[in-house]
Formats: sequence, C-alpha cells, structure tokens
Amino acid sequence: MKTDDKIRKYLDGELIPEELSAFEKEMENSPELKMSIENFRSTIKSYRDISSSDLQKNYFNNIIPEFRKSIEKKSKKSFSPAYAFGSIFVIIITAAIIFFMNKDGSEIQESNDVFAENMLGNEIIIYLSSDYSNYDLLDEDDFIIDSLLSSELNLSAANFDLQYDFANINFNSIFNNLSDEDFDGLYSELISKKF
Amino acid sequence: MADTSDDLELVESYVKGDESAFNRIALKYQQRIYWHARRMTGNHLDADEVVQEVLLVMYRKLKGFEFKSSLYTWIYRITTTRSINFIKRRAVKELFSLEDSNKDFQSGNIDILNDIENKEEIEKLEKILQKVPAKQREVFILRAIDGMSYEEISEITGKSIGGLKSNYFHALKKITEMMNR
Repeated sequence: MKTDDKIRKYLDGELIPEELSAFEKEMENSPELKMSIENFRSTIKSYRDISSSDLQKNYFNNIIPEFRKSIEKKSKKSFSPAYAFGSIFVIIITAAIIFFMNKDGSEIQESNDVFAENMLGNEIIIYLSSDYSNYDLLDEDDFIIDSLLSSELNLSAANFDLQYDFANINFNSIFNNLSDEDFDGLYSELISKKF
Repeated sequence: MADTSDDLELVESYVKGDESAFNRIALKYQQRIYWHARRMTGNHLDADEVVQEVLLVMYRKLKGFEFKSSLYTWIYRITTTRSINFIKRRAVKELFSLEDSNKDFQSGNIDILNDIENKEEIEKLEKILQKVPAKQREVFILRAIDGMSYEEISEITGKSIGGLKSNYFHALKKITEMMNR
C-alpha cells in the first residue's frame, strides 16, 4: 500500500487493526510522517473551527423575508422587456410577410373593383352576356376581303388559262345588288359543284 | 448530520399547500446552505446570491420531491450544483472583465462575521480553499468540514467513492501545503 493511501486511510479510520498498529509503529520511527499527519489534522481542525464562527443573526432572520419578497416581485413582474421586444418583432415580420405576399393580388383585385364600380348593375349583366355573332364588318375589313378574294380568283383563272382580271372588283357591292333569288341560285350552284 | 426526523412531515404539509412549511424547512437548513455556499464561493456576497438561488430551486421543485434520498442530501446537492454554476459564471465574468476588480475588497468589507479577532485567519483559510479546483474543494468541504461519509458525498455529487477518496486526499495535501508556506 502506498504511503498516501495509508495516510488517508489512517485519517479516515479505515485501517484494519493489523494495518493500524503497523502504521503507528512507522510513525514512531519517522518524525516526518508524524509531522505530516499532525499538519493534516491541524488543517481539518482549522476549517472545522470556522463553522463555529459567530455570524450576525440579523442576516439569517432576513433570508426568508428576502426570498419571499423576490418571489412576489417575480410573480408581479408582468412586463418582460425581452418578451415584449420578441413579440413586437414577430408581429412586424408577420405583417411584412402578409403585405408582400398580397401586394400583386390586391392590385388586380383593386382594378377589378374600380371597373365594377364604374358600371351600373344592368351594364354589368349586358357586358358579361355579350354576343359577338352580330358584329358588323367595317369598310376596312370589306376592302381586305375584296382584295383577298380577287387575288384568289386571279390565281384560279391563271390555273385554268382564263383571260379575266379580277383585280379591283368591289365584291361587296355586287353581293348587295344581287336579288335574294340570284343569291339562292348561286349558293345552291356552289354547293352542288363543291367549289 | 442534520436531524431529519420531521422532514417528511414538513414536505407533505408544503405539498398540501401549507406555505409556512417551506419557511420552516428553509429556516432549518439555511445556515448549512449558507456555509456550504460560502466555502465554495469564498465570500459572503456570492454566498448570499447562491443561498437565494438554492431557496428558489427548492421552492419550485420541492412539490415533486419523492424522498428517494433524504431532504438533507437533496438540499446539499442543489447547493453544490448552484455553487459550482455560480463559480463558473463568475470565472467567465472575470475573464471578460465584467466583474468589478474591487470585488475582493468589497466582499471583505461586507461580511456577517462577528468574530473580528479571527477575521483575518478566516479570510486566509477561505482564500486558500479557493485555490483548490472546485471538484476537490467540494469533496474537502463535505468530508473534512461537514464530516459526511463518502457514501453521502457520492449521493450528493454522483461521483464514485474511489474517485472521491482520491480527490479528498489531493485537496487535503494541497491545502496543508499552502497553509504551511
């Protein structure tokens, strides 16, 4: 057994009788060992003596009242700066996210709302149920159709070696001068020839 | 060792809602809590802070106390843990110079010791104790000063008995060396 271990066991009273008598003999023969044991004991005694030092009783009388006071303060303390700042921050961030997410959608919605506000109730119904089948062609449209039809007929005449010039013919005026009977006759002839 | 005979009764009363039972428990153990905290931290001001922390932990956790250990051991465990945490916090503050450099001077002036004659000697012993690592100091206080068995210390600290014996003797040797310089 090492000396340190023996000293600790001796101080702690853990040595068995045979070990104890052997260690006491060793101490008698070694003033150094005896001195170190005395020093260890003196150290322990010094620290134990502090515990019996006289302390101000007033301090101990106030420990519990002080504690109770701090508990009451904590329970009353409804405002926590950290919590308040945290809450404000979360609200701002949430509001900003909602604002930016709805920005585009709200613009479209807004223009629709303005448009609807400028129309009366009956106008909205008519607007929504508009039928474009009665849409009349304008003069510019007639001219385009005439020129397209002329070029188509010229191309066909060339294919069949016909000496006709279909350019600059106002087909619309011809259609307007035709009687209903002529129109029906032409229509049925075209259908029968699968033109 | 503390007289633990009425601890169960006091805890039961507190759990049932008797607030005065907590005051009686605190009154019974306050001196032990204070001395343990003072030896661990080395001065009155810090010890006072630890005492208030310990009482707060006791107040919050006592209702869940199941008597798996004695109340006395449980309170020591809280005091030891709180003291070590306090020492760590203090070390960090000192490292970043957040702590007032005149703290030693201040704490020397603010004390509750009536023993003026031995004040110097007591301060010397407290300073020496602070030079020992916290884990060794903890065992030294519990064993040499409070006279606890290694089994009790093991229950408080959660350390093995072999390790505690070794730590205790290392602390005793260091402190004795410093005292005889």
